[in-house]
Amino acid sequence: MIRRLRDAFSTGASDETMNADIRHGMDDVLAALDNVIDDEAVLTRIYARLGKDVPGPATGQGGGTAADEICARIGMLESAITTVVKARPPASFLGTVSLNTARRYLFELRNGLQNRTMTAPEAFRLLSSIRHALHEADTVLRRQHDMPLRQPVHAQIGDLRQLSTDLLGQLEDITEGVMRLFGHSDDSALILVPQH
Amino acid sequence: MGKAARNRRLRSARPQQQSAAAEARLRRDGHTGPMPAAAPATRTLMAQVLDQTEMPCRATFIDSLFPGAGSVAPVTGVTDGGEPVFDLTETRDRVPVMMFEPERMVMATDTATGTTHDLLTEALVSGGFTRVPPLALLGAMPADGWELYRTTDGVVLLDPYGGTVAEGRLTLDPEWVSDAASSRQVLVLVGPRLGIRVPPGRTLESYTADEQIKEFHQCRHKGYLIAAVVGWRGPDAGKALKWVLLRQRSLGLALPLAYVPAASFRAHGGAEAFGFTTFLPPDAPINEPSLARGLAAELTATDIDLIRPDLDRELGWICGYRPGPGSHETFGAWGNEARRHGYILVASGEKDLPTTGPDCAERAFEVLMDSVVAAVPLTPFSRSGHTERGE
Repeated sequence: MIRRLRDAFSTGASDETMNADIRHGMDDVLAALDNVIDDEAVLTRIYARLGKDVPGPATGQGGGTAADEICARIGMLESAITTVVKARPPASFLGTVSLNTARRYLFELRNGLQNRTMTAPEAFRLLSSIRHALHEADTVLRRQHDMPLRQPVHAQIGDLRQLSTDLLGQLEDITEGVMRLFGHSDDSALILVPQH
Repeated sequence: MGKAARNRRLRSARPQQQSAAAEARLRRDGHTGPMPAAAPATRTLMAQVLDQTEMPCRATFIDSLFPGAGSVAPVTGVTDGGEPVFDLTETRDRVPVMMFEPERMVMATDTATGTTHDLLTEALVSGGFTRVPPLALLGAMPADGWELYRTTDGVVLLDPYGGTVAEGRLTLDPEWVSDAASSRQVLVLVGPRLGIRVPPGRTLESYTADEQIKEFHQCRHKGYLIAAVVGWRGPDAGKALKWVLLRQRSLGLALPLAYVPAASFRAHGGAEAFGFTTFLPPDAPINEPSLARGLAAELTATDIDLIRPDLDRELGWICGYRPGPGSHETFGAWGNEARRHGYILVASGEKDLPTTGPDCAERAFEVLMDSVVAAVPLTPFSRSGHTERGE
């Protein structure tokens, strides 16, 4: 865990570059979230902030197992975080540390569910850890948002804060889905494996 | 030597010189002064400081954090009006507390917001610890998956992936051990100034409880005190906690071997997810180790990491090892063997691999037979003999 901190630094960049990076990043977030998150209110808010309309329903959805669908949703949340934490320079070092931690836990959860190697206690531990990291990000970002900062930084922190809030909302749906997958059992074999 | 070659040599030597200069400042002045975060010298020094997991610690109780400072009744609840309910009966088990006091801090200034943070504090908070507010009650939430073990000469705090975050040497009081065993959990406090270390020029006897409390409260008010309730696991009972490196031909091995605690692979589905299989005895008909799938070893002059090359570094880093002071020569020889072959053996198991004591080789062999193993290729960068990570 500590080792990963060493990679969390960035080099300096101009405001213009920073704004362009963030704008580009938000476009990628929208692309990642597009057609996956079914919480219309969240999607509408994210798109409205960028002055865009929510696109129509996509084709090709459905058909997977419940585990596949959960994994796809987790993957989209990972992508959303990846885009903002990779934006250089980060709007908030502290906020991105916690978001990055949440991203790693999301990856771990998805990896375990996809490979059928995860027990229910481990999945619930991860969900709890993701929630903790997102709450921490939210708390830190709220505090920073109240600080007298330059307008571009202030706006970027506001966007990050909104993202962390939205992710917390999405996590509740994912938690329900994961609990359904396991049926509150310690038995990792409860995820149905397709027959060949 | 041509001009270009001379410039390359100078460039490659500069980070080591900067790192050495920063270390010298640290020894002389007690701090390095500001260093650019992206500079290799900063990374090197930061890695050294963050890898110093051994630190002063103290086992105490929440009702009496400082010996000789009196005691307070524990809070067992909160009324509807928000008032704490104190337990005055003295019949409950006492809440055991383990305090860890890192000797160094790595302070980072966020250039976007101008705020300054301690990196270890932030790493632990994002991983499960909570900040202790400057006022109100002292308490914490459970940190899932974190564990405190008793070792032969103290305690060790492990994160959910078996990584050692803090370890300390101390003799535990039987009452403390009994209460920790009864409740199966311990309140862990971490902070850079908790009144444990005796200030320079002072003695243990002259460092009063009042002074210790004052330092503790200063740390708390500055926001550097963090806490978590972690599981107490008692004696480690032979559980694998640390890496062990074995040279080629030790125990008849064809390649240099790294023994890695099984917990280190937990986040990635266990070592078996990378194609690890059980060890076969030397006289078995088939004695070729499995070749690991999707796993590589990144070796530098100072450390070795196991990584998933298909992922970005933050997700793909699995675990790593940095030799302690005095082990660099052995590590260098081990690394040279690894580079010569381009592969290392990685074995992973639940039990500690013995390296000393009677019948050490036999016991180590038995542990290896209970573990899983695979041959892991070095990354191309590692094989080329670079001494620093090319990030």
